[in-house]
Amino acid sequence: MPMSPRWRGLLLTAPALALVAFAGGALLLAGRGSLADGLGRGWSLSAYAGLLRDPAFADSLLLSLKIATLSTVASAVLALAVVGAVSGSRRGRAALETAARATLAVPHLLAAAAFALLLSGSGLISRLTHAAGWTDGPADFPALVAGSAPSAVLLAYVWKEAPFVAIMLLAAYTPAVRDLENAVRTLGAGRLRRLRHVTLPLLAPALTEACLLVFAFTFAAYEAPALLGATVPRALSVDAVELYRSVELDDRPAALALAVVIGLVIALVALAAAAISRRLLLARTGP
Amino acid sequence: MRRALHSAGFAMLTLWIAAPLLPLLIWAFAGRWVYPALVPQDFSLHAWGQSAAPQQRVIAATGTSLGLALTTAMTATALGALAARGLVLYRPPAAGLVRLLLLAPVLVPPFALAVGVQEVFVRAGLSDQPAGVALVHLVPALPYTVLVMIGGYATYDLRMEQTARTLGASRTAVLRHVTLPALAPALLASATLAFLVSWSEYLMTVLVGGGVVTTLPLLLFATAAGSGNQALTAVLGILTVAPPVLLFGVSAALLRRHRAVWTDPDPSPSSAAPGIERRP
Repeated sequence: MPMSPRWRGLLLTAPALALVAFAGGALLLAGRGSLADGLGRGWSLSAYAGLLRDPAFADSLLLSLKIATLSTVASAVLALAVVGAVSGSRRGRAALETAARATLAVPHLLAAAAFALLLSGSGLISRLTHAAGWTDGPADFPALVAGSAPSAVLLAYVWKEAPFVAIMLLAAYTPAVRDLENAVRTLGAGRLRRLRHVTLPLLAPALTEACLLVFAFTFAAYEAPALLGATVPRALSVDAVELYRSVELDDRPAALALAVVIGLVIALVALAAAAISRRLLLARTGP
Repeated sequence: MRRALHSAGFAMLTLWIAAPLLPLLIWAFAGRWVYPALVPQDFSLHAWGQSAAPQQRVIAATGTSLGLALTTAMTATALGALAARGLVLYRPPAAGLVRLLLLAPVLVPPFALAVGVQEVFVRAGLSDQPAGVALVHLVPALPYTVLVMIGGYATYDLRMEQTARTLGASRTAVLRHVTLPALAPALLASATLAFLVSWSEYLMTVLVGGGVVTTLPLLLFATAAGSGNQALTAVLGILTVAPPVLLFGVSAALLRRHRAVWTDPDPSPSSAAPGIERRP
């Protein structure tokens, strides 16, 4: 039976779309579970009311927002600086690309485990500061792991994500961008003005996309805060997993409600990123 | 001055990669390494022997990890290739929306996906099964394979297939001698990324596999979080990081060789094979 090629194209995407539909259905079921009462039946907002009453929830939400925002900003700034520094030399770009790809292949969980060995009180850095005479013992070394500030979590994330942002920026840093930079340089624009009026606007779409991916990942990920974070307050994802594994029946809707909260925050950030992208596009092409 | 800057930059990149991996390498071969010593008091292979012992389940977990990652790599790449073929070559209705839907899972929080999938699997009897875990791994892997295969099909010419068919080649022969060789680099890059996604996955494997489906990341997390056995943590870490790094290196080398063979000696704007003009 002949079929118009356009519908044939849609048919070819069907298996992949079915997988996405399966994931979407699963997310809807998780949302439905968060709206049940303690016994998992009927419809009730008690899980969300419980979250609002719990002072630890606000702390966890703030901590997760802090981790994601700081990781994203630090990774973006670092990647921009490094890409800007090597942009002039082909060898520099190649070296950066190789180094960034090597970091990309390292699983997040492994990065977290390795940073624990590096940054803990008896870790390698602490031994180095002791050898240099700066600290007297493990207790004297700043609590980067499981301390009140999520320092080790942030360091592990920046180590993993800055190279990722750099790769996205390098891909957007086409020869055309370099030509434009050279053109405004011959017209007498200094380094800062080149950055502000040429480089940043041209790299902005790629940077926005990269920042969204980094934020979504670091906001929801479990491994690094679970291994490197403090027990109080805990990141949202760590809290959610603990609740999900608890034997108390009415903790289950609460865990699913946390999953919904995590999803909603990421959805909001994605919408914001989409709005920024559209404005960037309009600014470049005109309405 | 320039040379000095180059060397400094190169040293910083090396330090960046080495910083977390160095303690891993030392700990893996350390027998006793008590604070504040900068080097271990004695070296030993004890942790490696420990990881080979059957009760540690490391060898079995490596097998499970490999099986899941290979399954994910092949299935996700096939799904991505089919979808990209439909999107790029046939321009179906609502192509933009379909593309967006296929890339959306990259933003899905793993915890939410895993607990939702558990709701489905408990009813379908798929929970605590490797097949269920493999199905969950497909979701985050799909966007990467779709994106890479869309790139691969962007320079693909459907007329090559039609020509081969006109000359009497069977569908299978066309797939083997025309389609797959032309897409080989994209297929390899796509499979590598999907492999990495599955190989690194921790949280969804724990929740959907119920701790029964044991992969290397599960053992690594348990050892790093609760045992205090740094040497074994380091060994498991090396076992976790070596395969993907090797895979990335090998596939990058293969892609470079492929490009060297296929590129035109005289520089032309197209990256396609010589003698084939790309579609406008």
